[in-house]
Amino acid sequence: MNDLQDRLPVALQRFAYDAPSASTCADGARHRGNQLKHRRQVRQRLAGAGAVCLIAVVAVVALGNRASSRRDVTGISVANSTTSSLAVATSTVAPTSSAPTTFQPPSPEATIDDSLYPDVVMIADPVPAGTELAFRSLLSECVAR
Amino acid sequence: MALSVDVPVVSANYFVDDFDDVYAAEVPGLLKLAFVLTGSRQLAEEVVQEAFAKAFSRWSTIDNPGGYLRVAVLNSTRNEFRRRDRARKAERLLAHSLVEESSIVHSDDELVNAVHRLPSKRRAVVIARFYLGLSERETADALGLRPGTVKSRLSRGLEQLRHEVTR
Repeated sequence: MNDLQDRLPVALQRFAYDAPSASTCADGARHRGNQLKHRRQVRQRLAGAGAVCLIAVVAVVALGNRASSRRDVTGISVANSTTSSLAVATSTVAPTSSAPTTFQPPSPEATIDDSLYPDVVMIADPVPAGTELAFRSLLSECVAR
Repeated sequence: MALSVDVPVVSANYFVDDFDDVYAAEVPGLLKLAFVLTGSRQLAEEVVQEAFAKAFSRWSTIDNPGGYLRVAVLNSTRNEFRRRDRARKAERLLAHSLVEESSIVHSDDELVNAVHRLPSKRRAVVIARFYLGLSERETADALGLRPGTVKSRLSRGLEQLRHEVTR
């Protein structure tokens, strides 16, 4: 093995004598070097532009998500506390009209469709005689227990 | 009273002159290195030109042009061989060879021919160690390898050479 390691440098040096002499001058390398530099600059600019585009896309997606999450929440606000009217805003992003929708309480004469609420026992108004008394005794019994 | 101050005059062509000087000084040695690595005159010239082109494109940032160029030649040769291997595989389709086989110089010394038959990674380590005379540590730094990798590639390369020469 040591013989091989001694022979290798000599053999390689001898082989190197047949190497070509410099047939080209520095101009060619300089020209090609300028090309490489230009390409590298273009690559860097493209990478920079790509990064800006990526940031813009991420920002747009993030803003879109935020807007859609706000749209899902129905905001209720009291529009005018002095008149005690309830204003229900259906959308914070794109309201259907410029004025908030005003809640209208049902009129006392309004009739209720019983078929919609079959399990609800409706108490007539005025309350039948004796009903209030029975309710009070039932309540006091519960409190006593 | 006029003050005379000696201002060092820096030539506008300092950068270019510097590159030309390094080119003139380093080309012969680099061509030999590339030729020993590749065994091809044509490929050696291409590799050296490419190394100088790479160096020129970042000339102002290079502290040690000679060392940079040697490493560039070593690495370019490895890349060139990988490319040539791929080109050989595609040769049947393209009917084109990147390097003319006639440009490969076959040595009278069987040991040199055996070196050229080594895989490119082992060959680069063997030549850095036995042609450039770099230590294992310097070879590792030059090729961007760990010292353990250099040691194992060197050991396998020498083993292969010994096997081929004594065959």
